[in-house]
Amino acid sequence: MENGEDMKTNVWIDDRLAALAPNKDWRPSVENARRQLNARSARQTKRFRAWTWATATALLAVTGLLSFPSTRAVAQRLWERRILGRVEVAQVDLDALPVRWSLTGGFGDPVRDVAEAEQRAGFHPNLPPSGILTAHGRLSVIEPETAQITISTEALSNALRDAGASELTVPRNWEGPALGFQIGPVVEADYGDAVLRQCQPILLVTPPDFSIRQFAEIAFRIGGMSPAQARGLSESFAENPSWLIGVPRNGAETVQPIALRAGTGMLIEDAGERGQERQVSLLWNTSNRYYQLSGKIRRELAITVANSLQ
Amino acid sequence: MIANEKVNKSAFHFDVIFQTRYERITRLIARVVRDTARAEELGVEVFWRLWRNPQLRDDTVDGWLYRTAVRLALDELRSRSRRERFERLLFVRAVPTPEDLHAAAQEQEKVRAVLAGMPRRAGALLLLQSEGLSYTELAAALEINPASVGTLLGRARQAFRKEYIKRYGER
Repeated sequence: MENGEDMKTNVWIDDRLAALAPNKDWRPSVENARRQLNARSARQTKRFRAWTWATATALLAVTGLLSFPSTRAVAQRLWERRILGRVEVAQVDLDALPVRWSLTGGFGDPVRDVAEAEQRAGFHPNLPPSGILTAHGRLSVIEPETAQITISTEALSNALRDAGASELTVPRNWEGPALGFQIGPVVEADYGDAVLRQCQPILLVTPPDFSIRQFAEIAFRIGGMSPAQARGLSESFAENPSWLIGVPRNGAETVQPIALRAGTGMLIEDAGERGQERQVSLLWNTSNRYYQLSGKIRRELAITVANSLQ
Repeated sequence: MIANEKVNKSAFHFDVIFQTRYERITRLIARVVRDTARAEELGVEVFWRLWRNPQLRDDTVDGWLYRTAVRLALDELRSRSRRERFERLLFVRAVPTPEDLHAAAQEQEKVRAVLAGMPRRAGALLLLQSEGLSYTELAAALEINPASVGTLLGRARQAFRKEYIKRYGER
């Protein structure tokens, strides 16, 4: 039973929240929204896929994961679990892949300090020394996120046909929930102009009879690769699966490998939609950590930040 | 042709959902982000994601729309990002306008700041309940056990009050 004080508090909260309602006279334009959707659909294949941590890995979909908590124990025995040991960027439009994916989890919470971040995330976050980035990083921890990838063999077959790759066939037993991944927790440090994210390697799980190589080849062909390229990359991918980020060939972005202290990173630079703002994203990994630094910052600064991490 | 019929049916289905839900979803987002133009952008983003996820079952679409909308809105609130394109990947910090500064002084902005400082699920619960969703709808939208909604709402209210007091003192 609520007491009087609780009720007063609840009414006060309800009033505060109700006050957020936009002006009654304001009506979002359905027509304008529809036009924007149509425009986005039309230029989808021409645009850079700026992957979030989630979508990057979900549509990387080229491998899979475990996302059936109720059957986790069984899955651990029967499914093949793989750790993605590296970050890779390929010029392929993975957004064209007609798979259904759904995300669960991934809620983020602010934390007070590094100690709390470490306790929540289960690893010690590496942060740049003070003075490199202008602001003090605002920390938060994003809880583990899982994604389930569901395949429609008919949709994949149609996409292959549309891509001119009818010689490839989609196994019938791929129909339904097939792949999954698990990422996080992610520690995020928001410096205002730049955001640094880090997490431990992503776990991918596939059914034992599922051919990663075959799926990757299909995905790459649908994404615009030539038969030879798709075959070659899918073979290397199957041998050593990576966190793959797809960048369409005809995008306005440049992708460049960068030598970092920790190894080779991938730098993606984008001139922005109006050709004025330069967005930078630097991705790299160590043996036990993925890093992503993104923001409207100079590439030199991004590299300095990456090299400053212990 | 069968294939074309399926495509047309799918497109029609999407249009029906879009026409009947867009305004409500976008108004929900506008409660969080204040900037109505930005709310419309995010509303489009929600339906763009729906468009790319056409195999959602009818009985899960509404929950999915609410969940996606409130997540996007709260993320926007936290990041202060003006551009959805890079979402959590890239951030742009805008210089506050006189309108921003004026609005910041208002009670609404205090509430938004409190929501931004709360755990996202708690903020989402309060926002969606305020939007009029039932416990069952809340459970579906946020993928939580229906039996836990009352408890989680209670905690969310406590978290809201605690965060508000921490920032602005006793009301």
